[in-house]
Amino acid sequence: MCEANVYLKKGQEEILLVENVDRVVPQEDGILLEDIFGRRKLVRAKIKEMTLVDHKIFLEEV
Amino acid sequence: MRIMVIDGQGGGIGKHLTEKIRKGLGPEVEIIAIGTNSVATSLMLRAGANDGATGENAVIQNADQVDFIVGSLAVIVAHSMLGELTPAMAEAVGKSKAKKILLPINRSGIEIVGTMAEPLPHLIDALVERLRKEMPHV
Repeated sequence: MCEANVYLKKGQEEILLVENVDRVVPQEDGILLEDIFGRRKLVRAKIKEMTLVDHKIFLEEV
Repeated sequence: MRIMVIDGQGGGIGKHLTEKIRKGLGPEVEIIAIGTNSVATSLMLRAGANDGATGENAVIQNADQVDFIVGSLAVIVAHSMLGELTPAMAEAVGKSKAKKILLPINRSGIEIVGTMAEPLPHLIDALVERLRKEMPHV
């Protein structure tokens, strides 16, 4: 598959959080990520960068 | 032509499959939505399925009553979908004489060599096209 994968950026490190993300929903207390299987994860972070040709979304902690 | 769409958990994949099959192949195709839970069944019914049912026995009773079974690879993997897809369901699908046209996606750690890394909508479009080939009059 090649939906977007979401990573948390910590300095130079990129930590994979969720693969095959279908929905990214900003919430009051973070960002809700939902993959194509319906699996959800709330991350206390904000979007840092999206490189959609590479299917990557980078978050950083708040 | 009768097509069984099987999905579980949130039902999102089944919903998209049902929508695109209905849109692509028209109203004469009969879509039977079988969910491993009622949420998935309900979502597929709202997406345009003609009929729907939920659970293990629904899969067992209907698997041989359709021409095609579509869904993700998980529908032939016992204990997939966080355990919602029971061994009896996987057996019923496997034993069915219906042609199985499946999306090469799953959460069971199974990788299919030779498949393209495509976004889900593209995979679903390809599945609908594959069904269309079986229906020259559509």
